[in-house]
Amino acid sequence: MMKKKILKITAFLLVFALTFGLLSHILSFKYYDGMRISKTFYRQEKNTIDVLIVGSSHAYSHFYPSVLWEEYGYSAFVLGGSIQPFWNSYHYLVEALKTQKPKVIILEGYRLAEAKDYTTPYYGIKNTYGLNWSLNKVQAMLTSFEKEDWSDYLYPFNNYHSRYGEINAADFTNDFGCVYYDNYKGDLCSTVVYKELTRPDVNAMSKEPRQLGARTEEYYRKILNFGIENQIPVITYITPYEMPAYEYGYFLTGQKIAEEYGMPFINGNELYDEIGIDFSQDYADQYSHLNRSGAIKSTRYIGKYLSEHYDIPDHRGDEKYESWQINAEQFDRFHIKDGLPQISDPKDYAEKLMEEKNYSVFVAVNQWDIASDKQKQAVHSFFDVLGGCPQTVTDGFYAFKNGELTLEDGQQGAEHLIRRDRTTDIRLRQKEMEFSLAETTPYYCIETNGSEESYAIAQGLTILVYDDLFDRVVEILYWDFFDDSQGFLRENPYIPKN
Amino acid sequence: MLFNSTEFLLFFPLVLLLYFIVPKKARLYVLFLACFVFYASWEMKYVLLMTVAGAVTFFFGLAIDGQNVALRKLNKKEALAEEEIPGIGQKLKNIEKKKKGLLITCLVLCIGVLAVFKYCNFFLDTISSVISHFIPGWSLPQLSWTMPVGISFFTFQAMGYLMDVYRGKSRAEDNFFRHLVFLFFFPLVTSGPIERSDNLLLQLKKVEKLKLWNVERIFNGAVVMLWGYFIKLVIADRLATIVASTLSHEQIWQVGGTELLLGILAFSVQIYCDFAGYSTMAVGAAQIMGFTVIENFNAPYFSCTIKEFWRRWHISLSTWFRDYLYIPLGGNRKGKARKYLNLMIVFLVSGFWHGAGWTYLIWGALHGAYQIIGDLTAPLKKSLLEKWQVKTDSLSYRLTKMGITFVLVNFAWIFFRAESLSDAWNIISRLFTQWDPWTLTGGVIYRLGLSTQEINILFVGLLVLLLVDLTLYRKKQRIDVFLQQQTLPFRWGVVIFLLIYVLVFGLYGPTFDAQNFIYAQF
Repeated sequence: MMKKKILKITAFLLVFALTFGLLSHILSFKYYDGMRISKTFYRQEKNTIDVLIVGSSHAYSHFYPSVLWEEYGYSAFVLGGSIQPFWNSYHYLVEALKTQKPKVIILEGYRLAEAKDYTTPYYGIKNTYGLNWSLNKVQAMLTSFEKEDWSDYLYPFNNYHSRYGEINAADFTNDFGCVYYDNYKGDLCSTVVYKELTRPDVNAMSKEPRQLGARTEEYYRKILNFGIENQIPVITYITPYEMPAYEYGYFLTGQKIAEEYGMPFINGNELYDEIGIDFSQDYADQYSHLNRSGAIKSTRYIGKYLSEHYDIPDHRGDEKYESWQINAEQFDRFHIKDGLPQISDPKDYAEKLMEEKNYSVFVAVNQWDIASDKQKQAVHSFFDVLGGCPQTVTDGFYAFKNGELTLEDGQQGAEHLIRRDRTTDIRLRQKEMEFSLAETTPYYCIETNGSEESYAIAQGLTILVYDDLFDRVVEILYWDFFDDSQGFLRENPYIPKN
Repeated sequence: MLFNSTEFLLFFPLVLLLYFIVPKKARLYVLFLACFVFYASWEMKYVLLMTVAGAVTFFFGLAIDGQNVALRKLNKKEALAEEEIPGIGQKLKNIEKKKKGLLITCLVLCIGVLAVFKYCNFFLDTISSVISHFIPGWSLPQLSWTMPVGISFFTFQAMGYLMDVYRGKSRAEDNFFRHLVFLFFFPLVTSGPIERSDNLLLQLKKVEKLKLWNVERIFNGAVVMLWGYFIKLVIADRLATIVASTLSHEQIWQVGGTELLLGILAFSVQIYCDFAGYSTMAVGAAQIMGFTVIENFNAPYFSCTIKEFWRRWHISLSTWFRDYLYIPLGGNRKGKARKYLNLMIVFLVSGFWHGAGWTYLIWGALHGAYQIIGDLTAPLKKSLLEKWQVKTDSLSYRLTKMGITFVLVNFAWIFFRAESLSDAWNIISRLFTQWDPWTLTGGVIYRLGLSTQEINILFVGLLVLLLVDLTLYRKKQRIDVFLQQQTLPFRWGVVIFLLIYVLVFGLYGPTFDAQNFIYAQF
């Protein structure tokens, strides 16, 4: 009888635990600047990371492991988080060394300027909730939240259970909705160019060291000690940004402390020219996050430094490090869509698609008859590269995938579903355009979210380019038969801008 | 600490762990410690009040019981004596007088403490507003102390205990710790139910003999607690948004009649789910620990009369008033006029007990008036029903009565909820002058502060509430009892559904303002 009761209780608890665990996984936060990075860290094969980078958004925005891989064969990972203070960086390092034995640790040192004892709970969440449950995680959480907030934040489900209103397809997968994250190395890339920053005059700044925040200093020393205990050099690297004069003082103090421990210290703000930073081109926002151009420069600089000072193995060609190779190959595709948005010539565009593979192209043709011979020939060439031009091109839908023509439909009422999930509904639909009460004319259009997002140019091609690898729309293009410039347009010229 | 706080979710399992594993003799002291910590978590300084109140009622209880013992001895002596003992009559009278004096003194002290903490500012404010009519700008200063949590509840519990001892219904408690645990039993202290000496205290006396490790009892208690959390966190706290966006002082003039009506309906369910939620959690927590406490709610909105409503709503308070105020006043034994007077006194006191404000008094008076009018019109109603040959045993008749009772109760709730008398009048007048039922088809319900998704979640919750209350009403089975009679998969399915629903859709956590229990303010 007792045994039966125990079995019943155990079975009930098991069923509940499974249900709750599943819900917890679905509802948990998946911030791109926090737990997404830490969760993918755990997927790295044991003892494969040679260069471990920790720090705030300056870490994940300013270092590209793909560049270090391509140029040096270094296996790097950026275990960063938004506004990550040193107490979180320390616990990240403790966590990392459970499964990794990096040759060097790079501490992005911007948070030396953190004067407060606590960041807001929002950032505490981002820098702790992604860790797996362990004593280290509990310690990280206790140190991240003030005592009066412990009851609110030490139990994560308390905070994310209310996400039920925001969940989407990505919450139901293990790869955050995109296979790119299978080989993700913790970096974030922006292609935006923010031109409003100005280069600080570092030489004119006071060289007076400034006292660090008590907790910042405590944990900075802990990190440096940690490096000594584990015989791993900790390089403090302040990546270049629009440094205000008063923060320079913190870095000078940081440098002194690093020297006490015999650890390297690089202030990138003293090396703008060496790194090649252009303040009018290399930044993405007013918070001095480097964009792609700037981050590549910053990464190349540190890569050169590492190659000159440390004996870090080149793993290119090693199957065990295939993940880094894939990441490097996919980096441009994921972040800049293989440069496709910069190409206007249709033939060049089609050739790029075929070179990169795993793209689908959906075309809606309207008023083919009014196209000039030159334009018709250009369209034929475009289709040929994509997979073969049909014998007769008419108004209708055409689709291409992996070098093959997969759809040809000019029928009345044609409708094809391309993709549907919780947030996306892409379909090709033939509609009727009304000229008057009595007169309508059919036109072929592409819808991405029901009739609310409908794309069609009345006389030309409307093209939807779909990335089959990352399951996302790359862009929508227009080819206007009334425009002889022969290039793709990124906006429908006949729809007025708001 | 609130029941829906993280602190309580850590505190309660810890208390249970200790309570279950300590030697039997230590169980009472674990409970005492838990009550102490629980009360101190609200406001440390009122632990002193707790101790003093407990000590005063403890010693007075013993003193009154001492007089009872003396009375019994004298009566026995008199009964056994062969001839009349001179002066015994006077001695008996003196003991009765002394006993009464002790009771009245302690009751006055209890009511006095309650009056000082709860009603002082009301009286000061009322005096100020009267005198300011004659001397403009004149006012008395308000006292700025916070009311000790649960003062209305434990005071009444203490008074009930003293009266039980006075009447000889119960012996006085001679263990100070047990007495304190009885008065400040932590599941009940904040918002009741108001317990009795012949129930909870009697069980506390046998705490060492309780067989704690009963899986079915623990599971059922947990299910009952879970139900309490469900109706509080999923339903009541969501409805609070609708109520605030319609019935608050600032909102009354911004919304139309339909919105006000929806707000009133929302409040009627909110206050029920909030209060019943707390009571249910308390009952469930006590059950886990092996105690059966009084049920406080019994599907009140299925009541067919106001009288029945008060047999189903806040049962511990209404029975307390019946036993300790209505009956001592004479009840219905001294003629109809006296009965009605007694009823009105009880409901005025009840209204005042709920809050130091005129709106609560009006609310109480309305319920008193409902019962008096109901009683007065009963013969007329009976003759009309007979004349019209109304099928009084039909479902439609019952539903009609339920509907009328519900409307009357809701009308009274307007005063209960309104922030002032003028707000209450404004709500009532706007219900009629801003008559706009067409807004219902225009989706007005989605413009009351809750998104469509939240309304859907609420709707499912209300459906479940209806099913559970219907089961309680028809089968007279609480949810745990009902589930025990079902198959295992069904039972588990329902429990896991409720658990997950609360965990996911409950309004708790730092993103929400923790909705305090409405009755905790009393």
